[in-house]
Amino acid sequence: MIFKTVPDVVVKPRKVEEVAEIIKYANSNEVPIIPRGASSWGYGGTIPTNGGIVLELTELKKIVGLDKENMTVKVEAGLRWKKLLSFLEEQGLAFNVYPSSSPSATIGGWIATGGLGIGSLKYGHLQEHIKEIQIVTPIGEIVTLSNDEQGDSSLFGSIFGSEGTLGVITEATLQIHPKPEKILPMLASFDGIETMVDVIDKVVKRPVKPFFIEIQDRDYLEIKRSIGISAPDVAVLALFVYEGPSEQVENDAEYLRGLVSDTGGSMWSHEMAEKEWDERFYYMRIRRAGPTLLAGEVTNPLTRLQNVIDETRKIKKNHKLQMGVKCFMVSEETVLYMPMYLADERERWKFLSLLPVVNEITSVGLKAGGRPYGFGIWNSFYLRDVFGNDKVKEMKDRKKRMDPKNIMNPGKMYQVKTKFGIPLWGFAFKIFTSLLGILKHF
Amino acid sequence: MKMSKIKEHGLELELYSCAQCGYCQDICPIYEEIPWESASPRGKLYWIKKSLTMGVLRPNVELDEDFVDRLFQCTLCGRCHEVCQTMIDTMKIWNTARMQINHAGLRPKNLTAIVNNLEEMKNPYGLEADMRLDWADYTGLDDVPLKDEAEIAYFVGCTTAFKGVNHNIGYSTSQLLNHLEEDWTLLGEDEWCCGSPLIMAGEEEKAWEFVEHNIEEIERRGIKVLLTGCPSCYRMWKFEIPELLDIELSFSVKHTLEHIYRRIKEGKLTTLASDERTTYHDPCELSRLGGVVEEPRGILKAISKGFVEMPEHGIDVRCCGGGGLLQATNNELRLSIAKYRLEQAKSVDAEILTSACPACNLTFQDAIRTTGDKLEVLDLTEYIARQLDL
Repeated sequence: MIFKTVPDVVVKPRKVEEVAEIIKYANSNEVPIIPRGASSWGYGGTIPTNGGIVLELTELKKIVGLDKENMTVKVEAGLRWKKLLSFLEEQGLAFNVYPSSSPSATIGGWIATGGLGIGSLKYGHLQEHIKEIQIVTPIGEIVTLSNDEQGDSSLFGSIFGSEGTLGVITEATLQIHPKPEKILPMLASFDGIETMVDVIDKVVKRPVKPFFIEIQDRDYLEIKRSIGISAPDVAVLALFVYEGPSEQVENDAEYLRGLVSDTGGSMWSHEMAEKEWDERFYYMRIRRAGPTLLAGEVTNPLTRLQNVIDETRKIKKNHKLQMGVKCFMVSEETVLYMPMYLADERERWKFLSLLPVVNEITSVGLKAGGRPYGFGIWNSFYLRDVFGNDKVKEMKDRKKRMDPKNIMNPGKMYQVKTKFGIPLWGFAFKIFTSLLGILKHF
Repeated sequence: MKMSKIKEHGLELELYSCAQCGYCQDICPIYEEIPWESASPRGKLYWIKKSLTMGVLRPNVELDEDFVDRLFQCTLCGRCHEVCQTMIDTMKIWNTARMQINHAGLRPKNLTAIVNNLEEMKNPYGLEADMRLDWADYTGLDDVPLKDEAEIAYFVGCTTAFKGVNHNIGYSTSQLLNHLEEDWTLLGEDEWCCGSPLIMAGEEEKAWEFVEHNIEEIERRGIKVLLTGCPSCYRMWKFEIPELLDIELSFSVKHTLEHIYRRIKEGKLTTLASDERTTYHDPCELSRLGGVVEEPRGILKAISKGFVEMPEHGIDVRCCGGGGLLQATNNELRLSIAKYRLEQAKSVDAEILTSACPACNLTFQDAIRTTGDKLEVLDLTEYIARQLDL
């Protein structure tokens, strides 16, 4: 009602030159441009706020070139991650990080949004593995940005997580590696979050970190069982995935087994571990129990995990929700925390009343020193909480400089604007979400 | 048009479970050719869902002819279900939507012609019943068993029986059964369509008359094993009929390749392995939807030293384009999907592309006629028979 979410036109360019033409047109006519990849994200990053041109980039999907000498691969930004990963695997190669939505997510989409995913624990942020990106700027220039640009405020760095507000990503050159000799998933359960956190803390401080650690709490496992997926009835289940030379993987595995046994935890079968690993892209299976699924997504310090889970469980109890927690480690200290709760969009008023629970979860994360994973429309009000006033000012200045007519994905991130051009302030949004909360009484 | 049948068939929850993750897009053969959201499974589900909430508050949801076109732009290959995060029974949704479209009188007219043919002639091609065995004459098959009683019935299927390009499948299968000295028979003119195209055309109820007739003919002959080389017939017999009619058949159902592979393992069928570079295209209804993946590979490994896998094989197979009655609704689209698959066969340097489905065979042959590729397309039964000089 307050946004014009239907675009005036959807365009699917097949060449970067076409992207540039469209942007030049949009710039001279001051029409909003909303870049779109797979559109699998939940914050409304690709939803127009005031019509305009949705630029769907999934036809820019070529693998431009593989350079085995320099171990790089150049790809168009609309290529799906999974396709790239399969291509590399066939060649005996690998890329070190990929999103948990790889079957649909596009290269450009992940650059523009999160950049944290499977492999981040061991290898760091996506940005560290990209040599170059090509973008079309808001005035229609095709430029190539290199990773050699140093510093936090480099243009190269600022494209990561810019959510389509600084230009359209059209190509990327990725640093690749030989396929690891061995990948070993291991599944362990613990009698409590704290015990598990201790174990995780120890394994991530070793010289070689696990490739991936994923956590599911009792409630999440219970929802899985309710839709016929086999899952153990334990306080918390953690998947540890090691990769690298066989000998080293075996050593790490032995170390983990020892730790788990010392803490009174249990190791589950290799078969079950493999199954959980195969399911790594399938984190939304439990939606079937809803049939609607709502979720918070906050990066949090690992040391505060028990605290945020406790606080989230209070929210769960207050609202009488079916809610479970899934998270994965994205760095040595940080966990991407994703509590998911069931709803039913067919019960319209009740459903609307449950939407603000997402904000309650985000607030819990913020209090514990965390930050929302992305902004889109829904989380734009947290921008200052995440970056602080100085950084936000710098970001806004850059945006003004690069996109003086504000055509790139407008009405989000820096300032949420309604279709009437009226900015929506944080406090107004809070009133709005509180009003939604009242709906459950009807 | 409101998709009320979705609710009536208990599929509302399936529809609402869509997480809009988009995993069903990159793998969809239709989306590859028509890369618009509305042509992808995610887009189609979204619009069907919209139609359910159409009302005073949302008057603008129109399921018009464009949308009908979109819904029939589907080969019913089932891959969207396979990759779905929430395991949505997309196949049931697509078929139920087709049923709704049919009831609204908006079905593409070529499909109505197929339904009329089926009602009149008991096959989708509108040919006389006495032409059902012409393939045997054309291929010079001498011993055509039409017994009153037998262990095995070979259910030929309409697309094998009535399409010249597939006659050799009937011939090869018969020769193999003779070579194995099986106690087998054909049903001859008594064989009617299995009913599968009726479901795909949105006429599920009309299919049951066909099923009842066929069951009667099969049981009358005391058949223990129903053998078919057509994955559509196979899936209909093995899964759809028992599930939708809630009955247990008095005979078992097998694809020809399952039977042949068993005989190879028993040592009853041996042949020298060829040096030719072969590959195998899994028919969707046999592999992903039918669970037969190992048998054709077991056979090929036994008879071809040069067997190589294509990309996207097994249950992850990319459809040939020939499913879902797409030939009748959009032949151009069907052929472009087939060409994509032929390219994949060529990418592994295959000389011979085998499959195990008359619809795949027909589709590839049609496509290859327009591309002029040197690739030889054969049904696997034909290839086995050729190796055995049958």
